[in-house]
Amino acid sequence: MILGKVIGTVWSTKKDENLVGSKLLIVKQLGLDFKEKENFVVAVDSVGAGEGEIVLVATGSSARQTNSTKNRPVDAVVMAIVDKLDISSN
Amino acid sequence: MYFGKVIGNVWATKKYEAMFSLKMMIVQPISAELKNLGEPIIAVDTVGAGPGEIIIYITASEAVIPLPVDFAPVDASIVGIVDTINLAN
Repeated sequence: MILGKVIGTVWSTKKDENLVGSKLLIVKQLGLDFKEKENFVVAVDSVGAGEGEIVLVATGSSARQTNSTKNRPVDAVVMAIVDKLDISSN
Repeated sequence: MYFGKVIGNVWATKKYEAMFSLKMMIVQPISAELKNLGEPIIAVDTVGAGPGEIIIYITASEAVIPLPVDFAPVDASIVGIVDTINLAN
């Protein structure tokens, strides 16, 4: 999974009908220092993540392994909202 | 499968319900010479790996196979703790 921050939402009326009802979030990838990287993904929300929240995103076909993305054309899903990162010093 | 080093863990109370009992670690991908290779990722631990340990992890949808649940959005999981690496010189 990758660490990311929700920076926005995509509104799209004309899309694959299997995406109807899916909330599309724009997630910028973060480093462990929480600095935003260049790349971003559009991910389907499965945990009610909102703008500004630090999240985890699963990508690839694993992204279809949730009730809200099963059998849908989805390759990225927000599946956790991060409370805290513990990074050991060594 | 890839080599990695566990460098921390992630606390996330709000997550996909099937993942409730799963422990998520921060893994720095490394080479066989233990040099860092690219960006850290988050992987579910299935073998009790702790920070500082050298591990083996798998990616893609196979990552859900070693988990106690069979349907969860996981794309990386730790499947082994490395004792030694023998490299032909």
